Amino acid sequence: MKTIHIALIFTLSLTFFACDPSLVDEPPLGATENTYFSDVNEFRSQLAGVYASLYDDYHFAAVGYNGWITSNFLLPGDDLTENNAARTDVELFDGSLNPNNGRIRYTFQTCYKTIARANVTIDKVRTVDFSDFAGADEIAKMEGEALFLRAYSFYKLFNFFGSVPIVNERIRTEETTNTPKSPDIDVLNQVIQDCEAAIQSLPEEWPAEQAGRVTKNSARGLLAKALVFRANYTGDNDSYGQALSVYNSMTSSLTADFIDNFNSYTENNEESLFEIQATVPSSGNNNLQLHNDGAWRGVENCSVYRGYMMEFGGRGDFNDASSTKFFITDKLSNNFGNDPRINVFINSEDGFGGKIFQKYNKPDGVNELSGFHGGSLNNERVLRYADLVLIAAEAELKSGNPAKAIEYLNQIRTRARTWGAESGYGDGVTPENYPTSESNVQTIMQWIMDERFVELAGEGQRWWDLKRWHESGDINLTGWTGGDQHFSSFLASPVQFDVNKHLRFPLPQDEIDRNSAIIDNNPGY
Amino acid sequence: MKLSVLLFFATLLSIQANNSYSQETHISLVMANVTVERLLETIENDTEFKFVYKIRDVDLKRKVSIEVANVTIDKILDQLFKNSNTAYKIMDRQVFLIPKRQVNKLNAIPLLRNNFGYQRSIPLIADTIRGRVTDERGEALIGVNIQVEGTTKGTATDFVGEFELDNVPANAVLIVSYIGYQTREVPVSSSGVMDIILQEDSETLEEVVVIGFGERKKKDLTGSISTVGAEVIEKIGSISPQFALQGNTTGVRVINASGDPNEAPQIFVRGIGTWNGDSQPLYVVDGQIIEPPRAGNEDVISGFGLSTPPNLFNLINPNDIESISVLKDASAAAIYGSRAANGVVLITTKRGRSDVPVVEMNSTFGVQNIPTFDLLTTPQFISLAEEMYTNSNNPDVDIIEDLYGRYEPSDANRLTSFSPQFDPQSPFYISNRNTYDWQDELVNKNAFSQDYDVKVSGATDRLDYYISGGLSDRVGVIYGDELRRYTGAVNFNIDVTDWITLGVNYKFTHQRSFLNGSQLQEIADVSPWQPLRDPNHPSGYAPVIDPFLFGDTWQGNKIYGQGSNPNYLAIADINTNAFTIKRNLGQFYAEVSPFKSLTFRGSLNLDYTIQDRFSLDLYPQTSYFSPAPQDPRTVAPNAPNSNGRMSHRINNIFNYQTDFTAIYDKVFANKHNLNITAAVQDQRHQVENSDFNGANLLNINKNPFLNGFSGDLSNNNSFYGWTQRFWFGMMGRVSYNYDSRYYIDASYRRDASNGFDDEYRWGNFYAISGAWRLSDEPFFNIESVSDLKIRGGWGQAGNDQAAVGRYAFLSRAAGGLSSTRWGSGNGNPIGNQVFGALVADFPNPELSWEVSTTTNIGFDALLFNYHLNISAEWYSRVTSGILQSVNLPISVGTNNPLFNIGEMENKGIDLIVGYQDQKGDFYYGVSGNISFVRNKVTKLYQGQPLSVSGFERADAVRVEEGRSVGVIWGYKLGGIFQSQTEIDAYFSEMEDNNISNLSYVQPGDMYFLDVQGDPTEAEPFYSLTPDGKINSNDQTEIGNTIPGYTYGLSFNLGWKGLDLSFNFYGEGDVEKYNEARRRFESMSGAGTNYFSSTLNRWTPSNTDTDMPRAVIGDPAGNNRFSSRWVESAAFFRLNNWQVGYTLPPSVMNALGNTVRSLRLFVGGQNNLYIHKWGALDPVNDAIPLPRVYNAGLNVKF
Repeated sequence: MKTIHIALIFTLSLTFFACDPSLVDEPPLGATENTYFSDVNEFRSQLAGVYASLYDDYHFAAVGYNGWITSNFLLPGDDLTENNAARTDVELFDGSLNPNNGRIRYTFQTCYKTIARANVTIDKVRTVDFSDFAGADEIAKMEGEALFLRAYSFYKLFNFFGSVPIVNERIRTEETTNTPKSPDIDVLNQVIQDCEAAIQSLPEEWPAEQAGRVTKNSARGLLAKALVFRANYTGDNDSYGQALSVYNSMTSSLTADFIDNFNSYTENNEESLFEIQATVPSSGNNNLQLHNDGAWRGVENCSVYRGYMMEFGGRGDFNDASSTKFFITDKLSNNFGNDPRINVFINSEDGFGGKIFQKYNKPDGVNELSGFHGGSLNNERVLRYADLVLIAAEAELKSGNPAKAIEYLNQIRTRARTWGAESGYGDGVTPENYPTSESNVQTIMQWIMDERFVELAGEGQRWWDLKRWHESGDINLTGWTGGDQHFSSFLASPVQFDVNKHLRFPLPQDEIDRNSAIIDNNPGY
Repeated sequence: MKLSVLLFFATLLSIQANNSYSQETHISLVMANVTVERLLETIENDTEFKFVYKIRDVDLKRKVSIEVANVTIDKILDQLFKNSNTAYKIMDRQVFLIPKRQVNKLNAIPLLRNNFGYQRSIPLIADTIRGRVTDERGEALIGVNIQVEGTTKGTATDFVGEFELDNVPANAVLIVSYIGYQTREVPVSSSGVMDIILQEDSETLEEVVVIGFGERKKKDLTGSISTVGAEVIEKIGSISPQFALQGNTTGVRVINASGDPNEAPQIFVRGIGTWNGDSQPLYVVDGQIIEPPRAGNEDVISGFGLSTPPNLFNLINPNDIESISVLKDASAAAIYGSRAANGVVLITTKRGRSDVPVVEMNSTFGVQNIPTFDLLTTPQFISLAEEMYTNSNNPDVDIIEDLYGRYEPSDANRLTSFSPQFDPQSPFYISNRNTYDWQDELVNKNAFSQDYDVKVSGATDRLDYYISGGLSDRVGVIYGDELRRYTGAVNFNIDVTDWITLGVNYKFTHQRSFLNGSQLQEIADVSPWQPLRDPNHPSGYAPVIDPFLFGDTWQGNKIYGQGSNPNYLAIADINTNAFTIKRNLGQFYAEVSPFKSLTFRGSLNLDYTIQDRFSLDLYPQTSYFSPAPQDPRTVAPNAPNSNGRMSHRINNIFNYQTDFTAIYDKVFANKHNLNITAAVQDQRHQVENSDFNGANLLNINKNPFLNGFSGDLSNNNSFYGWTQRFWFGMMGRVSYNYDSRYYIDASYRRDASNGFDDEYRWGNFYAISGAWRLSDEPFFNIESVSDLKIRGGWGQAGNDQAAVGRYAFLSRAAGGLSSTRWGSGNGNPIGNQVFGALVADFPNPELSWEVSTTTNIGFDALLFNYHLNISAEWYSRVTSGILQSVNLPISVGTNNPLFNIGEMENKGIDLIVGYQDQKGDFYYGVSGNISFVRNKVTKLYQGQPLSVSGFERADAVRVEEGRSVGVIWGYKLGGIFQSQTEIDAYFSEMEDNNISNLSYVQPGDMYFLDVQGDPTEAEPFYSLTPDGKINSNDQTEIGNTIPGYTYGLSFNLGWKGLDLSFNFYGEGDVEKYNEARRRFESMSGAGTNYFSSTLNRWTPSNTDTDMPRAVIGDPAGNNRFSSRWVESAAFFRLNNWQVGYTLPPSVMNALGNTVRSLRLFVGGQNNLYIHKWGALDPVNDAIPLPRVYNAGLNVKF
């Protein structure tokens, strides 16, 4: 019996002492911000998360299956149209372009996600004393990368929505969560300011194994564009001069082969200023339905979805899953269809009468599809030097130097013509150089606009160009219809464009509902 | 009087209702060296006290001496039995002498029935017995049932309470039963004259209720506790014991999640406590807090289409459960303070009670059926598809182009992306107009279930034991689903010495479900011309795609158009999805009582669960039966010749708890009852996840479930991780009552959770409650009221469910969640992997407990000699500091944080009324209950309304200040346009931004109402003034998913061996969103089938209908989330019923008494189901509740 008593008392005391209140003080199993940012790898990982957020823009299942939002960049302009009435919000500006539009909301959300992540990088680089860390110089450059990525997000917000909240600090307290809208031009000024700051800490280039990170030229390119945009929107011609001086500091150059800009094997080349680094995750499985930021362990989606710009029965099953195809507009095709920069992307055997505009996919062999769902590994060229050459042309023209403008135009045309001849996609004649003697500003401006139309077709630039030229008075979008002189829509249904409403997309209703500092949406919504 | 026989019948002759005799009678005694027997005799002679005992329980020959003057009898007895094994209990003038170890049982169990034995060897003196039955007041009882045990012989008392029985055997025992009174077993007296007194029913009042860290008699309860006992639980016929609460308890709403037994029912106690987290009660099994896997707080690997985590309570055999108590208000639940805000469900399992070993066997067989949808035939389906296109006047939509795909470049394009099967000109046109309704084959008819269990239980002087084993085997209502469960339980409690008790209570469960089937809606949602079987295909199944139709390149050429569905039959037969749960639940405790009133108890509670999800996808075979076009040769890029892939996810869940409890329980001066309880408790919950994936299976066994894989690194993928949660709590409770008349009960608990930061980690929860037994007051003399108690309470309880384990007070750096690659170029399109890390939280260090405060007041009454019982209660439950996942403005860009912001209240009334009576052999009882609840959200972050996913699956609900949390939010349907004139008139003054182009709206389309306007400065979310525009601000309240009232009704009756019970349950004043109708009545896409109700669609010749026209693409937004789809979900249902027959003792005798009792029964569930729901089942259309018929038997040896 004695043993039992002892065992019992032992057991009782055991349970008494086994209750351990200190367990509730256990820290979480994973890292926290307080312990993170202790070496260059951790800084770099967080920064990689900022870059990774950009895949959202090209994600197949962004807003559900077939929810990709690239249509918001690509369709509102007059270079591309669609065949199957699946994106009528941005193709026809119809009633579905409203504050509850899920793809518009996603675009807005994605920009602010990038901004919030970039703000963490900027905060940490500025507040953590990393001077003793190995790789301290790389950490110092990261501030510039984050500033650029933030600037790029504001640049998108400005072009999509106009007046939006400017969030240029980490928001960490409840009191500071409601940021009011700033006037459009302040949003653009934020882009300019961030780019200027970024240039200070960015390198001219990164080692080859890190190609694709933001460089000084990336920031210069975006800065020059933003300055020209500012001039368009404000009529402040000084900005043209500033843009030109930034342009002149750039060290990029045009590639000899035009197609190098759309070829997955020649990414991050000398013409490239900034690209979305389309790739496959570690497992090789690139599941288009899985978001890049999910916990998918190697099957996340890091590719660019472009099924809508590829032929049917094509190379990857999901690329056929597109609910609509993006066609070249008759406007572009009829006027410039002979330009090698257009016809190289057209395949008359595509089953749609040669209408699918297959930039990044033609000529055969340039596109790399991988993973069993077949996302494209071909980087999206967000910003390339040819764009900046034409921006410089525009700035020179507006600064009163038509000859210089024509010279820049001819740089672009010469490259196209020469490449066309060598590759066999052109005749060696088209496009001809413009005479440098021309002095009519309207004529030259039309040349510039046409050149951008052709050179940058299908790269998501057109709508933003049309908008700013409308602001600067170079064109007038008022009353634009679906006709071939205007938006040139393939769809039979009418374009319902209203110039007083549709130059800015609606802010998402959720932002209006949740942000107590915002009451009104953009006019008309 | 001779003490060698039992005396109690004589002692009961003149007992008055007055209980004070023992306290008022003072005795003086001087006796030296006499036997106990002699002493007792003396007391009996000198006073009115009578002693009742079994001879073996009292040492009558012991010599004692005593000298007392003017003391009460208890003093004498204390002295007399101080050093003996005998205890006593005084009830009025009777003194019961019993063994000491049975004292607790005496308190716990109706007194005379089990603990007071009788001697069978009485000589026969008279074979005619006469007697009279009275109540304690001496009033005659009429119609009392008298039966001779073991025979069919019996009678009933007459108008003066007298009875007479002839030819009663010498050793007979009379069973005297009467509703409202305790049943007594009385040996016939030697004189042949018996006066029997029945004590008023103790069942209702003396019933013991588990209250958490202890138990109380029902009559002593001060809080709101609902309880159901084994007799109800055993009859529910469900694998899941929670359903015993449905319809049998007030204020407790049990929702059947689905007809699939794997899906856990949801329980909501008194409304809904929070919108963050699942608002489910805390579950405590035999003192151990169980943490069911919940979405959001740990890895839930339900999978296979289940919407809820695996049903935890499948893991306890209902037949092993003694009782389920639900602590509804904080005054009862505060003892589990920190986590009891949504109520507490206490499950107590059985232990051995009977003095003789009882072997019991149960077996039940059942068949289940579910209703099915009524769908269009193939010709009807085709003509509807054609009509949709004809009706469209969108110039971009054309049947030839958009459905037939006639302008597509190739047949491959047509077959992969269009439906040439509709095109009469196409070679793929389906001219065979057979209709295949997959429900015919894939819904199991008369799905068979069988349940068996065996248990042995008993109790000896020092040990009670309970051992059971069970097997449950159920074929699912859907083809491919089945469930098999093995359960085992042992419960031993040992009195090591008089003051030490040890116990072990262990349960083991192994449950394996095969979940190869699909849900009913998926099975119905197919093109009706698509068959499941194809005798010409080598597999016998009809393939869905013809991938090599155009050469060697794999293409998803769909054979039955874009609506081609996976061939669920083939997939169910070929692939294997299994879900296995193994659970070990064990409690070990030791109890020490250093002296009588004080008990220390320490217990270790171990709960180890293994969840195991296995799926084997033989995609090289099943790819042909799926419309998703994946080339099996490239699905796994690194394993082109694989036979399939396997994934195996194992979660080891450790839920350990240690308790240390001290209880002081003492009665002072026979009237002051004091109970003090203090406890320390900690809980550790850790989950280990591991996952193995192999994409390269080369050998497939005959039994593919047992297939293994190994080796091939480039095709394997695995991960591993841990999560953990900890709690620590201290509690104390003081309960005092004076003479069972005045009660006061106070409790306090202090708890810490690792879900909160240091300074906010501890929560203090208080509760106080009281009761007043009015009927015991001297001035209370209402004859018809047998017992009346008024009670009330106030208390607080907490909830950390939304925060614990998430470390939301910290800013986490989450690595490995996103990635990018740098360095592509120069011929390399891929680059070098860089893993991203996200610092994306918006940490809230001030996060703390969500607190629910309840106030309740009510009464319990027993009327008309305990025939009628009524309980009514009003309560208010306010939840504040709701851990609200705040929707920050999108522009903040971080993850949404948790703030303790929200508030809401539930107010309601619970009412229960029951009546029971007996007339001779016939007894009956009827009980009804109804609970009303009103829920209102009172505070939100910045007042901003929220949309949250519904508490019950599909409904998207709105959380908005001033409204109920279950509000369905959507557009209000106006009606159907009958003419273009009406359309023009409507839209001349109205714009609708759900409509992309007004000119596509046609007669037969629906219009919606402009009920509100855009926000203004004063009305920041929407204006109550209509503004001539229909947009998202016109969405409004169109229903409420929280029932305004729930009610239950139960009947039971019996006559001789026959017993019947019926239990009904209903919900009223409730709406739900009819997801099935939206799916099958939308008529806006030509792919899969529609309900036959669409035959009544609007056409120019059928305008008097509420079904709009069919039109492709839905240009008018007819299918928007609107009141069109919201319906009353009220129902009234026969939850379960059972008719049983117990073979009479004569039959048992004839069988030589090898079997002690045998009961046969037939029963069913949901056999009567009244509702107005537009689809199949207002509770669940995915897998409707099965209609069950079952039969079984219960045998005791």
